[in-house]
Amino acid sequence: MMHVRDPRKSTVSANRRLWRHFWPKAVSARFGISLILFWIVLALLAPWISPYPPNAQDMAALADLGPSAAHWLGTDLLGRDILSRILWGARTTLVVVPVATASAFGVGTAIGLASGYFGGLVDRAISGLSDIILSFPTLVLYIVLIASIGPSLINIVIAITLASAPSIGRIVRGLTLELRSQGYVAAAEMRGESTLFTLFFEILPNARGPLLADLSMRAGLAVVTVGTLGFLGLGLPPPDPDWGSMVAENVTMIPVYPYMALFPGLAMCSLVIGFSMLADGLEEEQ
Amino acid sequence: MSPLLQVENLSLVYGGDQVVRDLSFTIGRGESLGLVGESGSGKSSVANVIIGDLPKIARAQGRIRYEGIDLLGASREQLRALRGRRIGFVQQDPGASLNPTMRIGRQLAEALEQSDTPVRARGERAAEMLSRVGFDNPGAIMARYPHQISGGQQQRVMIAMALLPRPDLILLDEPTSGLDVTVEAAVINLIAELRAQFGTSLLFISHNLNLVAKACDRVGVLYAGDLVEEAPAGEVFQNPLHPYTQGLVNCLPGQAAVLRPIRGHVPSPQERGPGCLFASRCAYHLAGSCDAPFDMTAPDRSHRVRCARLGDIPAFARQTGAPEARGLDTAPPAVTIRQLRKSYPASGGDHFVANDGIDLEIRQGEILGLVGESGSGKSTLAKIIAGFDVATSGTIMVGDTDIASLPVRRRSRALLRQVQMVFQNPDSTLNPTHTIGWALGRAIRKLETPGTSPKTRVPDLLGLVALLPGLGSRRPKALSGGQRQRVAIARALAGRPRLLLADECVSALDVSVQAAIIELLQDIRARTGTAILFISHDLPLVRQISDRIIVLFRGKPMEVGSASQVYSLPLHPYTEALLSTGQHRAPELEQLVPGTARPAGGCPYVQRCARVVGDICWTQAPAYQRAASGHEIYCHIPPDRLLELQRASLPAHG
Repeated sequence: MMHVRDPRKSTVSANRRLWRHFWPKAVSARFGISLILFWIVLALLAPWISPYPPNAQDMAALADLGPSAAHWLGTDLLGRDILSRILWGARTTLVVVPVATASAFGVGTAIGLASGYFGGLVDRAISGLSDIILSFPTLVLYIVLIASIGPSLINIVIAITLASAPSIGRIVRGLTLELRSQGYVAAAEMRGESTLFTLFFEILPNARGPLLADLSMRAGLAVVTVGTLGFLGLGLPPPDPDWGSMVAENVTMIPVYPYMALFPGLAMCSLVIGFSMLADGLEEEQ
Repeated sequence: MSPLLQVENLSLVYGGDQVVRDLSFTIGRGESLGLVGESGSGKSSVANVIIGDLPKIARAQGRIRYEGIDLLGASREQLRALRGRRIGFVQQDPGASLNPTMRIGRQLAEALEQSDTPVRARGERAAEMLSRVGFDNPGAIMARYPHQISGGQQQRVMIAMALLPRPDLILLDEPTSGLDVTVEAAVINLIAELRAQFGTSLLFISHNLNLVAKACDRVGVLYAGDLVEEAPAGEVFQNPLHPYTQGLVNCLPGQAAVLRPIRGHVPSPQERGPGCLFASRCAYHLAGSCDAPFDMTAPDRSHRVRCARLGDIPAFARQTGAPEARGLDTAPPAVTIRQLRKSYPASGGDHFVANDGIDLEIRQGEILGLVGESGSGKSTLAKIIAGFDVATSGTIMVGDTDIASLPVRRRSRALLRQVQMVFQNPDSTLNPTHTIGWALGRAIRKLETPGTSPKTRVPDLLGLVALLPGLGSRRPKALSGGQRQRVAIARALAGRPRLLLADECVSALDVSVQAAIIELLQDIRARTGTAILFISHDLPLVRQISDRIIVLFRGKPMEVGSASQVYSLPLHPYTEALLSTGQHRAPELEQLVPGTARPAGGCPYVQRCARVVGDICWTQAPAYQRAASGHEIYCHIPPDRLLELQRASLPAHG
């Protein structure tokens, strides 16, 4: 009998290979990814699965604010459904966090590559500037920045980028310093490759491993930052829900109604844990 | 009398992989055994199993008896009592074995912690031992930190430390790798001397057959975890019986006149069958008789061989004849270097001179060997030619262009094409992210004449370095060190360069692979007419490949001439010392500390020279003299006089 390749079979195995390539091997990374995916799915489905509109007030619930059959996680003081507000709030967090992290990484990688590869004056200028930024307590930096340019989505992204790009740059600089002494970089220079080519095709791909782990950890930190800014009233303007501002709105009620601040806090925690476990796992896999 | 160390049928398995198979040997009191093997032969695992330092996944079977104690079954306490006190261990990297935060003296005293020596006497014992390993002022050394002494000195401290508790057995695991040739020779001689003095037994593990044979009475040859041959040191070179040992000797620069590499590769643990592991590379392999398990046979009392067809293996035939050296005096120069000088600012306003007025022509189609110890400036010269550094003064002409102060970034495509380089480290020469085909394709796009299709040229290039075209789709991780270095050579050849720089490009490879690369470079020179600047610290190796040789010392060529002249008739005192290392103890050990400033004005070699004639050597720079045989030396003493001096001082040498 001839062996005929079943085309369906080959696509199945190709898919499986793709799956294996992206699905991490470490248990902690799998758990982390699952948590993150869980929140992404909830955020995407929020318009359909959230029981109430996020800003709708239910006067009937004001009699009993606690969790009930109508409001699984209870309502806040204004009678807004906490579950719905958490689901909608996830949308804010899950948009701001990836955009801010990506932007911070873009800038950090660029300055790190430049200072590690060129050295000399470029390195001293970039490192000096980074040191100045890093010498501020991060929170003070955020407050000053947002307070002066105003709270908005773009400005939060700018603030996070400015505050974390220097430390990303430091990591990339260290990796670049090590990688640029490799034979293949010298070989690229000897065949006349452009600087950009050398940086992005010869050096950067080999820094991928440590950077991915750092990326995930920083995404977790960004969740915290967005929450903190929301808590301080420097996040998105009300009444749209945002986990940080939900905690802030209800913080005075903690002795009486602890769940009002607890549930959004837990949501934030689980997402942060997801990112940091993913980071752990990625680091383990290297 | 029972032997001191007896290893019986030792097998080591890591996970599911057999690393050592059925290994038996004995070391008697005062005896020394050397174990040689290429990478993957399991030699370091043998050292580790004896001191009981194996990874968790390792399973050992068999018996290791040390004075009747079974080391494999011994408790931690028993092992602790033996290690250090009864069994000394000298590891590969002395820099990593010494504690950087402690002075040498305290570390030595610590080695006596377990002994009966009273605390007050320990310093004295340590100082005494240091003087016995060749330090003139032990007190000064003991007050220093490890980074304040040179690598050779560190290794001697390690040896002193291992000897301090007066062990019966010392394990040496690659004790000289990473040291300069001259220092290496001194360490080996020291080991041999100390053994004679103390009567200590030795187990010496190394990849270098020459070294092991020098330091030991008997030599065991490991191949893929099998002991294939064990014989007295002299016999291994004169009368090797196993086909692998025969092949190995024919790969050794200095032993064989023409290197003959062993084809194929060492089987990985997954590829190993029950029979002879060398079968896949053996010219005498006979299906059936070689494929079943068999024991070692002993043709005579002192010689054991693991070969099923021992009776059919012809007696060892050493490769004879001289390496082919081509007279290229008339060939036009590919690169002309004039008065090249490179100095770096050093502390105290001084300058460290890396290259000092080098005049040199590399002729078309020539292989020019550049030898020198570390710090001699040979890599600096390569870097300047390649454009990774710029000269302080002087010119390097490639065609009509001076590239001495033209960094690689500013070189035109035409210039880049003419000078290419093969780098030292096979692990970092290729980008792990990209496939072999990608790497070669990029080189073709940037260096070949525009319009050349990488699709046809990549297999061409792979063929040129004797690799299969299918390798193009692989990534460097899937390649062996030798294969990677071949790809690196192919990449450098993409633009058909006029000059290929090869800086220690085989020093990280096993001897059999090294021989194959040497053969390849010679073949490439013959086929493409590329000139090659072959840089190495290994003089016999350079002799094998080169047409001409330059001996560099502190940035200054000491002797320049055809390979056969320099090698058979070394005139300059430095060349003489380099070539004779191992035959007598280098007298200038203390001055081997790198980086010491050279005397102003005089000959750079004067501090170590055994033939100083007077003040003139210290105050006046010599001129180049041409000897009757045609090579040039940088010395005050006339060539004829040097020859006379050599004959007078070393009758055995002349």
